[in-house]
Amino acid sequence: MTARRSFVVALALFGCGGDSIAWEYRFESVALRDEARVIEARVLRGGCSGEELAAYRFAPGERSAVAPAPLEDGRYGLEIEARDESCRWFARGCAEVEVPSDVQVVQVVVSASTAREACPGACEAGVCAGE
Amino acid sequence: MRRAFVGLVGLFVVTLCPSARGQAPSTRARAMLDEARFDEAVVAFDEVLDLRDGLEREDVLDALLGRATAHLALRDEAAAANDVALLLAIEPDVTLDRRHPPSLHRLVERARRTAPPPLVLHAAARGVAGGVEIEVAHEGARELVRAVEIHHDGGVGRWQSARSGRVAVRADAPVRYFVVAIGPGGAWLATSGTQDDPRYVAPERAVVLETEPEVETPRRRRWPVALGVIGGVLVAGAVVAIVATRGGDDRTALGRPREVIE
Repeated sequence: MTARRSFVVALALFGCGGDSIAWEYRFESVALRDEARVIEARVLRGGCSGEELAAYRFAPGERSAVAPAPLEDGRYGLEIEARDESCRWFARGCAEVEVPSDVQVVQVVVSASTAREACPGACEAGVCAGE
Repeated sequence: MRRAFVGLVGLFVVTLCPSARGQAPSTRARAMLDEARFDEAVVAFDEVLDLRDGLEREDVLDALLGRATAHLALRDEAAAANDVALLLAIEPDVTLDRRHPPSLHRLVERARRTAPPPLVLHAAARGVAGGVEIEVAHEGARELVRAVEIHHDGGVGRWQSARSGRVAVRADAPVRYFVVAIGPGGAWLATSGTQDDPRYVAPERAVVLETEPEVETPRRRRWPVALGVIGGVLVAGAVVAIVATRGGDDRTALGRPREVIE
């Protein structure tokens, strides 16, 4: 998959160490956001090319009702990927964060990526059968 | 003998394997078996079982059967037995027929007698203030389980899932949930509960304790007690606050992903 470059903005606020990190994401364009039907957020161990530790699915504009498990010390990738109406992953972004760190907000910018199918079976409005 | 074995394998591949799922690695692996290129077949089935998505449970079963068949053809009975044990862990009632090589029949029957531990999901849920917590653990077939997923409706009938062994869900109504063991290629290997037949857990409700009848005591003797209670509460509060912010858990909390619109 050749994803377009995704921009990552990590904001250090007030320069003080924190034991919580806010996870934000935004779409690179309104057009991309309008296409999104399902968002999947993933925590990857070791960075953006690392092993998936946890994943959370929710609708655009909503927040996951699930709170991610707290992170042990180490490097992580916070990945956001979006599905369109026909259940294709079409946009992605990832930001890396070192824990512990002074970073209090990690913002992932979601850019267009090479489309790939998300469902082995049927799809309806971005949701795979059985999900 | 070898020709007969190859013939049986070929028949097995042509007639039994899933036909039209269309995953290239599966097709390639089956072709290797068909052509008696067993070393390459093992590698190809390894690749199938390393896939991140696109597989269903039956594909995993077929890949294990195929790899076990290739291992047997290579006289690597230990590796074949391992595949068969994994197969029985996720499908204890698997049935073979005459299209499978007799050596595979014998191996499955032997493995059945030793009863490899099945893949079992243990889901535990409890109500907490403001919501529920759901945890899931699994045992058996660890080699195959890539992740566990917790699916829940948040108490509002809208299903979501988290690929994690534990979730905390904010809710003020009973939460329906079920859990899934995810295997190679994203296949659902086992579930506890289903979307149609989910489990339930309710948020914790405020508990009102009945107050004990007050014991008449001289007023001047109650002040020290009251001060002691207040002091105790303050100290306990301070300890709890310190523990909550500093001690006990050095891990870093990660907020729920939130969209920012600019």
